[in-house]
Amino acid sequence: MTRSRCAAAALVLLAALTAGAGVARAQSNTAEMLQRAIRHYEDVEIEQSLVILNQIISPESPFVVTPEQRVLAYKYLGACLALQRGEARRDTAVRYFQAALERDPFTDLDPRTFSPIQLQAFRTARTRSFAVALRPVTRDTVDPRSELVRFSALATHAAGLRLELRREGQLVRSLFSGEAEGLRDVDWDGLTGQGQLAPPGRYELLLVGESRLITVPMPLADTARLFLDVTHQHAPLEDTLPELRAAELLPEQHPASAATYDLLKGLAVTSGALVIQNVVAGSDLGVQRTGPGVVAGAGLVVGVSAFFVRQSHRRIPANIAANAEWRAERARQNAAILERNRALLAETRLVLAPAGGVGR
Amino acid sequence: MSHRMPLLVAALLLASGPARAQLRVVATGDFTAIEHRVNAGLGVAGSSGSAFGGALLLHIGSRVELFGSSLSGTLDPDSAQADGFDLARAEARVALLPVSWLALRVGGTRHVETAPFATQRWTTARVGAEARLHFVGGAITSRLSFDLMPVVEATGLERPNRALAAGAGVSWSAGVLAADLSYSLERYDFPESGGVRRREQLGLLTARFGLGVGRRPGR
Repeated sequence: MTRSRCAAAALVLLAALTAGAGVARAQSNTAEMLQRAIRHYEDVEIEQSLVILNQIISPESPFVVTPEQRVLAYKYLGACLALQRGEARRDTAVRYFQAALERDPFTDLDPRTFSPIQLQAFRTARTRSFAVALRPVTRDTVDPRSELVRFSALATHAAGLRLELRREGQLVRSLFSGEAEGLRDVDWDGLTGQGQLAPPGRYELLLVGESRLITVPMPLADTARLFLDVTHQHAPLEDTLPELRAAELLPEQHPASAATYDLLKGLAVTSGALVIQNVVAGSDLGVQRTGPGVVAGAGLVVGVSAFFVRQSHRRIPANIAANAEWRAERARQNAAILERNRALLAETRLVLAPAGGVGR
Repeated sequence: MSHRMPLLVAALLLASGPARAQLRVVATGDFTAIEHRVNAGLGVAGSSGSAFGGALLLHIGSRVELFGSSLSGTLDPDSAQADGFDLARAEARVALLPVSWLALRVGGTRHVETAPFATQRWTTARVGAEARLHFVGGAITSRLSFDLMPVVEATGLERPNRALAAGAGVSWSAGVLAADLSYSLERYDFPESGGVRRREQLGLLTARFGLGVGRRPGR
């Protein structure tokens, strides 16, 4: 690497570090401003707080404002304005609360720290805006035999809610269907609609809400969805044994050639008996016919009989029985393996993890 | 010799290895039709008759067999030149089967021919092979055998130039039942002596029926 290239690389690195530091400082400044605004609010220095909060939400703000910071700013703007006199101020407060709710329906006011007038304005904001939301799923391991998975759904005001668990576009289980307002916890036992343990995969949690308050010209609806990955956690399963292959079994049937071979064996004995005289003795002492003839005849009878027996009875019962016993033994082994696997699967735990695609 | 036999049997039992648990004994009663012919320079003289006896076959595993048999009977002359005689015969044999279809065997026979005027004793040692062809799952076996008799001692006779035996047979077994039908022919060609060249042959057609006990060796 040349000296000039080194210098250029160093400059790029420095610029990147400077830019990164700038973003961090900007966020840090927004956070500091929010802290100052909240401190002023708590010290009932409402005007000072309003100035800072307006700077934060201003499009001219030189600092980066995260969605969470913006929601907090709207919330405190609403809280500040709700404390001021005048209908217009309170109406503006409601609008800021609405802005906070539209960005994060989980936004709420703690009744222990906010006054009734602020809470009233916030309730009004809730009735004027409609949104549904799902709380993000955190990674969790659940034993479906004794534990439940808890999902949190929310509607900003009274609504008809439907919460469904879907997979690959298909409904897996309907988790809730009914009227709800505010936060609603819904438990899931880890089973599909058919009562089976949910198979591993990526699931979509779909929340559909329909406002009961804003119905003109038509009911206002909203949806929220989040994705989660479900995996199974259990001890490793055993593989079942493969089916016995033909090469591992005894032949259950004599080949078609066996009958011919048996006939040839019989003829071999017949021929052997007939040629013994010639092979061993010759005919100088006369030819003995009775003994060879009897054995030759027996060989012929046996050969021909065996030929027909083999043709009509090709099955080998002993081998068939032995193979059946082996197959039964293999089936017993596999049944035992399946039983052990069933026992392992019965102790399966579900592992839930958030997946990409969380959204409304 | 008597001291060595138990050792030989023990060695055979050990040689049969893991199959030694497979023992089968077959005991049979034998009926034998015998045809004897001899030409001692006076033309062919034939005699025939029948004999009864028994045999014992011991399978040791699928590789070793011990066989023993004996018979006794009377042969009547077929012509005026021939003589009748009583025949007593015993045979012992050991067979090793390197493969199921071949038995390599070694053994010996002793037979005594008792005529009114003389008794002749024959002793032979033989070595040979037997091919076995199994039918229909092994219930039936056909056999072809050939033996050389390198040692032949016969009373009053020189040792033959050539002594051979060949046989063919069919055996059957099912469960405890066993049957066997075989034919064997022994031929002895003696050296010329006094211008006479003696030739002799003995044909045996044997039917055996008996019982077998024990586990049947695999084939």
